[in-house]
Amino acid sequence: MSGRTCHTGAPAAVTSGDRPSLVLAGNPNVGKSVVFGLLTGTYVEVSNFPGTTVEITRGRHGDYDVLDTPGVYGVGSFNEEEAVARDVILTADVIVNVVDAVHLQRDLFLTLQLADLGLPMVVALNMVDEARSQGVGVDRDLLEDLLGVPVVEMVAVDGSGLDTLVGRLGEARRGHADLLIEEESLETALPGGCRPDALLVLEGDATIAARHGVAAGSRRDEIYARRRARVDDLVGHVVTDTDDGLSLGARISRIMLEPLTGFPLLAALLAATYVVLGQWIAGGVVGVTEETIMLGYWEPFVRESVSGVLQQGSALYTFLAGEFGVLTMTPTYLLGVILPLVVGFYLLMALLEDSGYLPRIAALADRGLTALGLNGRAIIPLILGLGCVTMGTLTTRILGSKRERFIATALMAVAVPCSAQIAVIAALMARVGGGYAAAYFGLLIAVFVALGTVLNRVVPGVSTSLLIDLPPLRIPRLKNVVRKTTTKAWGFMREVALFFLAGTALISALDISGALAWIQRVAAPLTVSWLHLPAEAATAFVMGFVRRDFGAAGFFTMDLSAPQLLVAMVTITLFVPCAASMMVVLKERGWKYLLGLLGGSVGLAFLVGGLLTRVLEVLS
Amino acid sequence: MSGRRDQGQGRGHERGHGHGAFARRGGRFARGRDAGSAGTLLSLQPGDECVIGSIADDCARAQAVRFGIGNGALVSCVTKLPGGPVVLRAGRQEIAVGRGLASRIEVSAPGAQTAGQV
Repeated sequence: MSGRTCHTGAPAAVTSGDRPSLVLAGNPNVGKSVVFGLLTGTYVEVSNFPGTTVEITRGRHGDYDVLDTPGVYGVGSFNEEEAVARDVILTADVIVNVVDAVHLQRDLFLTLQLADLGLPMVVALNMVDEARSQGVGVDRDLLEDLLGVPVVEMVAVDGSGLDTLVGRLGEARRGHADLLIEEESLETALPGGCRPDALLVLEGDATIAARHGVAAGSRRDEIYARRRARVDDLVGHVVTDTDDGLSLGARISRIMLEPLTGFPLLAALLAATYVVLGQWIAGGVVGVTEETIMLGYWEPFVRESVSGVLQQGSALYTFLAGEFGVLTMTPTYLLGVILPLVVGFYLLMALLEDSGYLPRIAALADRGLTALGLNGRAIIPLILGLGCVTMGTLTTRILGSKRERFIATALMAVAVPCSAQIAVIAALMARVGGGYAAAYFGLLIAVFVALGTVLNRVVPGVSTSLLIDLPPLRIPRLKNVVRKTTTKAWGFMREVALFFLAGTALISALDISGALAWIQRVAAPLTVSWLHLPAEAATAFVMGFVRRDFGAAGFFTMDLSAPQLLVAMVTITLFVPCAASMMVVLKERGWKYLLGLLGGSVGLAFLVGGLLTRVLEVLS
Repeated sequence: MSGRRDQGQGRGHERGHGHGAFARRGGRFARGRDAGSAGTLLSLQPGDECVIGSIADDCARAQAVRFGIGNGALVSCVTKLPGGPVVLRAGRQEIAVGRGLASRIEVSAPGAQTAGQV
């Protein structure tokens, strides 16, 4: 009956040999990651496997291999995120189930399911301070008795309770399971199988059933209903709620969701974002970092130093200090142009995530996204896509159907520029009037809506409806926001730097071999005749295959008129997604999808670009 | 609008008192267009309380039970976004339910809870 012997087909990536695994499991937003940080100390390895809300984070605590899982409300296969958490949970030697003391009614469902699955665990009763201040009392001793596993009170953000948790890890054991789940029915559901898998099969988990080659059971409703009743009963015994008014957070939440106040508030937030990211950072900060520091001091300094050693025009000089030189354009681009906006963006994301506003945006956006075949939940990958399309694409795993993942992935790959690209485009657009920047974003939004509307008509299947938990609003903790921002921005910048170097090498190779000139000639009908851009624009599109922001950067040194610049920026944005996100699309959606996406995005980019060229020429 | 909020404030904590909130629908909340969908979540107005009945969607039904808004649960309607989701409150939990799903969730007035109550 051990949970260790029989999970067939679970990804090997999650188990790592000899060390016992300690898995953190819990609902979203209960502080699992904070507990993870406490247990593992400074060593945090963010594995790239699934995206932000769907990633497995690993670390070490003593002899334990510690794994953090995506937040889930139960163990099952209702979306891909859940499937990821499920596989890790099933491989656990010890589970630390983190629960939010304020929301036991919701959180204990997972706890009791873990007990029913027969997995050894300790419950970390987190946020007891918040519960107390909200008038919620939890009888820890009684909860421990009724669950049959150690329950440790914690205030993870302050580190309190950690010692007790660590001290009691050895006491981890199986909790009191539902007595009406008979051994015989488990045996019938999965002959010879272990309890966790057998129970999941009995609960109708199609994935687990398929792994064992048996039919999925049909007792989910009955088992779930009884589990819910047990939770309600437990909560009735251990929780005392003495509060008779709504907390401040709940009142603000209501203002955020009331139609008359919620939409204006969201609009105000978007406007503030535009001012901070678009004007202060992309304008003000980048003006200093790019123009003054990098172009004003750094590049002349490098050129002078390098030309003292190497002859200007030699291959090595071009490589180091030329147009796309690794000592000139590379640092200017990475540090001067992109870094400020990427940091700004991830800071905003961290604030949105930590405050709990993101799910409320999902509720507000639900109506609009329904018209595109999505539901409000899709706002989460789409917003993450504005940071990094690769990350956004991975996060489509939280969507409820294949159809929604199909549509959201396509929308992001085609019409959502990532933060690096926005930075480059903002820097370029600063050369022309603000009207062109507005036209750029207006056109992208139009393409986004049009594409979504069309996909909603043609993609087969049925989209799911929104059903989202609105977590309590909290004031983000500075330490956490800073840590999150630096981790994400660092990871992103590393990727950008890598691809930038690879791209530079590619362009240099093409240039030196003469292939670039050939491509420029061959592409001339498209670039020169159709888009009315200089022939060198082909170089930028080749760079666009590496990264779209890199492609946009290819226009930096070209002398373009304002309308040409707009055409170039719109076309390169709609053009293929970056190489990294293509790889993720391939992995997540398959090669047919990727080929369709590439064909579609290239076709759409040149179609829209060419039409725009003509409209602009008629207008001028 | 602050009046609306004030009306809403006390309600989340009226659960358990057994008020028939269906009957308390204020004049300004009563909208004719929802009359045809009475009996589903869509028929709720902000401030109303109800007991969840059957949910005609396998995945949503399971998720609702996990959230504590499954069959038999007492919930109150926090707000409704125009054309968009219905926001429910159950205990200290707030959940947004999209319009399509809301139309597939039956509700009944509190006090009338019988079958399915666990």
